[in-house]
Amino acid sequence: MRFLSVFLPRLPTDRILRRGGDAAERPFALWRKVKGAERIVAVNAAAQRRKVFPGMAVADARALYPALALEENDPESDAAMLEAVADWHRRFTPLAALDAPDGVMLDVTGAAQLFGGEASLLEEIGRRLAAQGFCARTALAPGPALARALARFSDVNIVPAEAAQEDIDAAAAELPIAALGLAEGVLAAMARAGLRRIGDLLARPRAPLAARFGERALTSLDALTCRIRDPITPRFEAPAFMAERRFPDGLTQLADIEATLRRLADELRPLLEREGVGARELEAVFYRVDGAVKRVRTGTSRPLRDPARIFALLRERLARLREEDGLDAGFGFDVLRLCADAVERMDDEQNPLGLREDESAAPGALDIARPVWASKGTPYDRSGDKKSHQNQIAGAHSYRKSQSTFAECALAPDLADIVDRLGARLGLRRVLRLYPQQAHLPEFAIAAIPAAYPAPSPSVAPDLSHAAAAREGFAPTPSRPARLFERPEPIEAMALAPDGPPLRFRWRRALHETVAFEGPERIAPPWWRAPKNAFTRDYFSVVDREGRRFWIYREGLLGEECACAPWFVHGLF
Amino acid sequence: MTRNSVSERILFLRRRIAALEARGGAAGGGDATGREAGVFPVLAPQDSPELLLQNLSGGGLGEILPAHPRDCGAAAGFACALALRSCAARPHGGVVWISEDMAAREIGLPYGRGLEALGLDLSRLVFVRTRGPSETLWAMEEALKARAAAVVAESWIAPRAYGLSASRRLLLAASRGGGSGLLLLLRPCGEAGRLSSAAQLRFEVAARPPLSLPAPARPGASSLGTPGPLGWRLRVAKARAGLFGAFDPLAWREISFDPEKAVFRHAFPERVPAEAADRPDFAPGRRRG
Repeated sequence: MRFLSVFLPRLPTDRILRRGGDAAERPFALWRKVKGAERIVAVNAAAQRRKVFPGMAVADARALYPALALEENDPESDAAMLEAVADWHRRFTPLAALDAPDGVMLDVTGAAQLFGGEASLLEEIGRRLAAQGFCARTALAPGPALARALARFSDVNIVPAEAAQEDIDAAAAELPIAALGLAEGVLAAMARAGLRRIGDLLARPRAPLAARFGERALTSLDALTCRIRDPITPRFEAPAFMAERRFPDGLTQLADIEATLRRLADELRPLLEREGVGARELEAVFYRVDGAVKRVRTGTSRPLRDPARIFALLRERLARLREEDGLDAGFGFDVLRLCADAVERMDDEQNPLGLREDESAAPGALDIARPVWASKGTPYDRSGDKKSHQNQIAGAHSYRKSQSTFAECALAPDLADIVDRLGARLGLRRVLRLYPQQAHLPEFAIAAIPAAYPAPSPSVAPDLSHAAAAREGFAPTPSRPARLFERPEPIEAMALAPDGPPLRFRWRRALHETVAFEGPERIAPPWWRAPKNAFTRDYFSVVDREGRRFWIYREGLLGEECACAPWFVHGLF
Repeated sequence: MTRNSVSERILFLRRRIAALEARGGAAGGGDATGREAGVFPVLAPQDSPELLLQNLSGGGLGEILPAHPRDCGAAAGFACALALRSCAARPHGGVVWISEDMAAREIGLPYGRGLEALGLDLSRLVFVRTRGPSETLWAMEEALKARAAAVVAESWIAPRAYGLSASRRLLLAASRGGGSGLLLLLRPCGEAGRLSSAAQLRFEVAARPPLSLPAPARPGASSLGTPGPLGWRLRVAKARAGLFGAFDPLAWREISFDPEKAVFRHAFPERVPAEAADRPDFAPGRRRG
């Protein structure tokens, strides 16, 4: 195991100074109120050279160096900055963890050779952080605690992978006991006992040490000398399916970025295929040269593997991002990564026998091969089977026909494609499919469910729909309007008492005179679940003198349920 | 240069452009090839709405405008009937119905049971809700490109925002995908003559006055009739070259729609339901008893 620790000793001041040219050369310090006194908490290198140190009172620092630039400390911004830095480090390895408050821990096991070895990896990280304006120290060791201690307390920055336990002990021996990261009291007690270096502890028998300083001290010591395995908690789980490209010069042109994404989608495909899964959530990550990281996430309505479709979705998201605040390329992106965060099992579609993939995509075959969106009933009945078999014998033309039989079995990719594309931009909740429901109240008779979701399971009860009625040869069910208002609109009506249609009514300030009507159709609310104030409705479809058709209802039975039954327009034909 | 020759030239150029588009950018051959490619089918001057649809079902853009704000419902019904027709031309395609929030507030949402009753298979329908006109236009273009058989969009777009370039994008997407796009413009009611866009067809739709006017009062019964079959009163306000001669842009005609066969019919005076003295619902004696 190889761990790389990055230590940013001047993160608070670097955060403020890293944008300004020569401001970094001038003494600068951050202060904070500690128990009512204003104390320096962070200084830059120039201030430190002038003997300004953290912990000093602001007044003393001013007296020492009157031109000292001061600013109040903001720990929250520092934490955010550290997170950004940690994210940036994920370009080197997906396993990057925060090492708050001033460091980042990377698990670079097996990743170093991608950057030309461990020494050059360290060098590259240091160089890039320096270019971004950070003062950074790095160290690489077999254990995270050792790497952390080396970066903070030592000039040694690599403990080689082949180092034996004695070498590791020797490297750790020189470190001060503060490297153990124990509580102040314990450290003070050790110092009083004359233990200054880790080597002092290593030279002593363990049992008295444990008795005097606690079990925890020994655990820390073992972690430091890599005797116990001490994993890190990465900031994000490493995605299992990931493709990335690196560029020595950053990409700035959108066309290049899109072309790269397309390639990445191509590279992702074999990874997904090997596991037999398709992506349900995709994330494209753009690492900018100056350290900013942009993410573009998108979900899909079904497991997806086809590079063209993946790319189309991402491009949609990119276009939307551009509209909102823009994908600011700055000096360019130097690492582009595409990962599938969530995957789902995806079985390959069955190809028709004897037909290669490129043939099935031939333009001539396309219009016949277009699959049914959602085929109802049995998609593959016996007669179709027989026919397709005969056709295969018959010749070239029949290939297409047999293929249409096969294509009908497949899930509707055309529909899913539209759903994905529209959903990526409008939001999946705005792309719906309608399913008939077992309900008599008109507004509940249809459910609009996001198309990305699976269809509700068909209930056992018989289907109430018109199509079903027509299939069964029943008498046609009462007519329904083509449009329904989300909220029925109240109207003033003059009706034939007690249960006739309105002779004339006023809707949206216009007077309509009824010349023809049909009804009433009485729909009672389901008594077993409705609240007490739900009334029976009498529906009429009414035609006015101009020929406009309305679907109106009266709520409540006059004299039985209520004293005055209001009228509503519920739909239009 | 006479007026006639100018229009000849414009007609020639239009054909040429259409021929170019039909070949995806290849050089067109002018008048004769344009005709051969089926861009402008030479139609017999036969006065049938089916002819219009033939033109539209091979990938085109049509606009439907209500003649009066109160005719929005009728216009939406007609749009649905047209979508059904183009679906029938492509039995495996689907319908994408785009409904803008503002339009939904004005005329309600398409109701699944009602669409079903008109003959639309709900498993072939994707229903999309958009927040504003720009999203509507974008979604419509995408759906047309993705080869949906029919895309119906209801929009509250201002006539100024929906212009030549927007409609041209839609038209190109439709001709590439081969589906028919139907844009229901609810805001510019009755402005069918003034609107300028690249659409191939523009209908102005109004409700059809009831065919069977109330019969003389029956003794004891109400004087109200029964609603006849579904139908509309419409005029073809615009039809791009080829069809224009066949249709008088000022003539209103009445058509009816038969949901069972999904065809349009001329609404000639039809059979009126017989006076039903034996219908129990209307029989005064039973009703009071």
